[in-house]
Amino acid sequence: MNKGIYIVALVSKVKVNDLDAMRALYDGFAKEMLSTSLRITNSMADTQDIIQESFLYSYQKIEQLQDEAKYGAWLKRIVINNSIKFIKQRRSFDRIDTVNNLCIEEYEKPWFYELDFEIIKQQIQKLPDGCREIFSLYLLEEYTHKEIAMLLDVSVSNSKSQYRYAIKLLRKRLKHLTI
Amino acid sequence: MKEFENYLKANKQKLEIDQIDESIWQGIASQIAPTKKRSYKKLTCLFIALLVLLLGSFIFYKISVKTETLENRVIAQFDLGQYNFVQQVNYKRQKLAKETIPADQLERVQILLQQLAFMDEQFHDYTDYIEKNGYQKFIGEQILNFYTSKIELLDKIQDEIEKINYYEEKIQTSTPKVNIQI
Repeated sequence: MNKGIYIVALVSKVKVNDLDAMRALYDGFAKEMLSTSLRITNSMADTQDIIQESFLYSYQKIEQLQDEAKYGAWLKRIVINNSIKFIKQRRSFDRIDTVNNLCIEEYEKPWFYELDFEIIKQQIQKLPDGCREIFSLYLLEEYTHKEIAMLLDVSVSNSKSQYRYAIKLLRKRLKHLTI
Repeated sequence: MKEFENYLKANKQKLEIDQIDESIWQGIASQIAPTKKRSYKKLTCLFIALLVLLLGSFIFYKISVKTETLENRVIAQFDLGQYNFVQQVNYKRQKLAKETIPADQLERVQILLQQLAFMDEQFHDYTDYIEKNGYQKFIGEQILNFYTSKIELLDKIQDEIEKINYYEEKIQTSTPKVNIQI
């Protein structure tokens, strides 16, 4: 069955309180949502709470979702909103004065193809809080800098600088590991 | 430079977590059962809420007419008329009353609305004080700060609503929209 149709069918069942269908939706989306939230919060314990709360919220409010095919996008918005709400309570953006000191050449051979994705994952999690959140939202969740600025209460230029800093820092650290 | 970013984007799925702790689902499942009620109970609650809302609106209307006159009198006494506080507050309130947001996002503005309700109550404390102790200069200063904060709060609510609706338009969930009870 087409994935979209499958999701629509599951959401329709969840609307009539089918717990098995909810479990199937959870199985389908949990990894993606957990990864998204973890990249923002950098805390597995808190992320697990956020995921529980978000799935539960989606279940309680599912009658309001009229376009069942958009369950994934809707759930992701809930997860991102909850993750941002969480980090806003503890966030402090690191100053990024050092950005210019990170000298990265514009063109180079693609050295990163050989890298293990486990290592990339670890290094993403090791990025400083503020820039890791923006890196995840911009590159992996495809939010625009304008949207990120609104969500995180920062300026658009700050969002761009933080993103550039994250990319440069990540490349520098990963490249160092390959030497 | 872009190649590295494109490489990460293209392999996004490989950056996902491999294993999920089963306790997450157990936590969800354990809370699901008691959250769904039978529909007739929902309808009864809805009916009661509607009744309370209607009654509340009627009482609020009566009080607000009385309060507005009182507000104008206090403002005139402290010579704060130049700031047009009452007009500004009324204009912003009316604007907010026309706004709608998705029902599932209502709780995002709830805390701000509670603060606003608290400020409305606070004004009565000032008038009570004036009634007992007469018009004193420091109360005038407090009322000036009070209105400045209230207008800032109303602007904040407006901003939050705009943010919510911006994302709603982007995602288009077709979630039913409701008015802000202000």
